[in-house]
Amino acid sequence: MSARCDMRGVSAARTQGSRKPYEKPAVCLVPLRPEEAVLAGCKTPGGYGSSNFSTCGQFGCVLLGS
Amino acid sequence: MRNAQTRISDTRRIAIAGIGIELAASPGGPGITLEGAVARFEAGGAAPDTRVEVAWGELVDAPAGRELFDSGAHWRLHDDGGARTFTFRSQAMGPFPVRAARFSRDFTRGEVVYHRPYFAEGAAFYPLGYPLDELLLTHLLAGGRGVELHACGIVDAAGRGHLFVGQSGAGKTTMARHWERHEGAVVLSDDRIVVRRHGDELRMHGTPWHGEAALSTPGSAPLARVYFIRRGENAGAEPRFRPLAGAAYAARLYSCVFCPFYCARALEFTVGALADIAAHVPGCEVSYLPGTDVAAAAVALEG
Repeated sequence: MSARCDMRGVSAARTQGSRKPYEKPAVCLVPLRPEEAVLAGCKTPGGYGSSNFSTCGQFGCVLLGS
Repeated sequence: MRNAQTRISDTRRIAIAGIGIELAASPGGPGITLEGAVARFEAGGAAPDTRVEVAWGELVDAPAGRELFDSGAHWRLHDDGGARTFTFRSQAMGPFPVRAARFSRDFTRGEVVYHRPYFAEGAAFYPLGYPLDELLLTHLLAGGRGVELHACGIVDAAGRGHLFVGQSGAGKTTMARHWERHEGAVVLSDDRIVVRRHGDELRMHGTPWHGEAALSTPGSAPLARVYFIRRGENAGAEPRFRPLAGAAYAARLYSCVFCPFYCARALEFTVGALADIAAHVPGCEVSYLPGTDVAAAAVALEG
């Protein structure tokens, strides 16, 4: 995958300078939140439109155990 | 709960990120309403991408077919080979599903059925109530149309799209409120944004799904830059922008995407779409102290 990043005004010094020094590959940890990603959470009226959007408003709280 | 002013009708159309959805009540079925932010996405015009009928029915414990996915909360997905069925339950309502939504495999046709014994005569619904509208859209997007991201999307006064991506608590709503004070800025949503490729251009689209600031609008803008907020870290008197590129950038996007993770083909398309964004749209981490004008600094980056 190719990528470019033209941070004008920010990385000018980097692009104008000499060749980028070698950087040792590193493991980057990216946290995941599966319950958010699969829409398993409860959305309240304050966070998701009208009361009709809220699972609490439409059917009572449907998040089992909550 | 319905507002007395709410219009109940047999057919309504909405369009989210340019994807049209028609909602049609079956004869004798429940009425259809559009409430809250989704009402702003009502649209007429061209033939919809998806048509969903709404009906009453008697729902059984589980639909036919194998269970494809269990969300761990209130919805599940079954696949019977010819169609896919989401079921939604409510402990408060009873042991049977409250609602079931059955779709063709390409999600261009569907039917939403409400469990009749649970509801009073004359009941009306927004049949794609949370989280069904998002589930439907993520399936449609993953079929080759685009991606939905956990993000706040802002269009600046020059019409450029700034996308602040992050999970819950990252500061998306705070960022939206900050930009609101800038003349000419429009917040497309403070929580959910769709990104689609239109020819040579990647555009971000507003959705009705918003965060605490309740900001959402159906507009769109060319995507100028993607930001990942780092709160309170490496912050100084001025906002700092640290470029991101390649796999690290794409991985950060992946951690904030909504897609049918249980479908290999959908996942393949989604990963490719995120790589497309990472390859063609500048990305960075932004760190700033409360009170600094991060919006002005972001606009200045674009020259």
